[in-house]
Amino acid sequence: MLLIKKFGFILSLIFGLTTIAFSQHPGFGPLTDSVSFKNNLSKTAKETKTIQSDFVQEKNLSVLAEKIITKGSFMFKKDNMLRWQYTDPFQYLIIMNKNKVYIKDDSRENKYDMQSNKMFQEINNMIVNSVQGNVLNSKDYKIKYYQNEKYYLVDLTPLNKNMKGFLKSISLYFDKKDFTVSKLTMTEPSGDYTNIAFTNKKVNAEIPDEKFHIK
Amino acid sequence: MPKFRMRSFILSSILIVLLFSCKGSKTAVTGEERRPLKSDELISLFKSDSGAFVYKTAVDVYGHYLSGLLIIKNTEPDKYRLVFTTEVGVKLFDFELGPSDFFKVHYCIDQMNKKVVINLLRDDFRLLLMNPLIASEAVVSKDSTHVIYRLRGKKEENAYFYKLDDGKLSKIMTTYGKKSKTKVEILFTDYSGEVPSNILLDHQNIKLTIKMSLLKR
Repeated sequence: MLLIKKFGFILSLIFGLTTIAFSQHPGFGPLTDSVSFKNNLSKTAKETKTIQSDFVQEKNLSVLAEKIITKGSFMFKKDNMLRWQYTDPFQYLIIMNKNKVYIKDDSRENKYDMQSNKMFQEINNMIVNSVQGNVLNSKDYKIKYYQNEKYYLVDLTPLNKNMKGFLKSISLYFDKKDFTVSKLTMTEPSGDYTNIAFTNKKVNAEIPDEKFHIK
Repeated sequence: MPKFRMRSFILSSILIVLLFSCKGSKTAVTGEERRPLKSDELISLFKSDSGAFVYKTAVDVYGHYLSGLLIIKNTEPDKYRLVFTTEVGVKLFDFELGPSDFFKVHYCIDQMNKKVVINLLRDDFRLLLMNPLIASEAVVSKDSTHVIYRLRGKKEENAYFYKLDDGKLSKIMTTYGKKSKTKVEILFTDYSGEVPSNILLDHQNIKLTIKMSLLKR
């Protein structure tokens, strides 16, 4: 009796989870060989010196019928230099260079020490590790793998309490052709989510250090 | 002795004249009238059934600087939803304000989730949204450029300044005490249609300034 109960519980858990997984990512099936994907990704990441790309960010709030769309550009250079810039419909620039953060909007510039702000640290780690492919080895997330004909989809659920407060999950869509992130979705605990789609990707084009310079 | 008296008389006369002339210039007001508000008076700028207002917003509070997008949506008659997210898309708070004293925190990040902070924001947003108004009766007057509505609450008075030339709301001011000290001032400028493109909310007694510029409506 107890065994059946236990078995039933496990069964419902398995079925329950698979239904959730499939309804969350329609059109995606499970990726069984995650090891070869991870190897390919880390191989690509090792060869990646720079990445630049444009992006379109789409914020979906349950209270709003329409989405808030912002656009900009993104640059990454090894090791640990990141430039994230919004140009439409407002100007907003974030530069992360080693352990310094610089933020500029239309009226203000601010500099921070990465060490002084846990959230920046987490965000920086997440982006840099995603770009470099290390995120899949991170112990900070529970990780699940899916695929369809175009993408490898990696679902990250934070385990760390700080991150759980503002992040329910991140889904990274890696292009099967070149193993770069084509889009990502960040879902908040409330269910509101942000989509970021990357276009005009250029890998290993020369980016001058000045782009990441913090005055 | 008489010399001294004379001098003090002159001095006090000058003082009286000065005081009166000050008072006179300050209250160049004609035809003050106390009456109930009409149904089309003191209507919220954000009353709308056609979507939300998005403002790029910067908050300066005691040397801390916070910026992001403030989304204001009129969900039902006299009900508003206010959501603040960072530029990057992280939601910081989600409040709902309703008729009478209705106020609900749907979400607030831990770092901001303190009673003092939330009450302060709640009161500022009530003032900004003109919802609820603190009285249903106003003292209405005019100066050379504005029609002014003064609403008397328990401790404070809210004054609404509408420009005579275009009928637009240009300022909301909260004052308190016998000397009518200013507590908060909100300035509305650069109207695009019925909506101000720029809003500046400034506290006089604490270091809090909120600066908003319209992205879209």
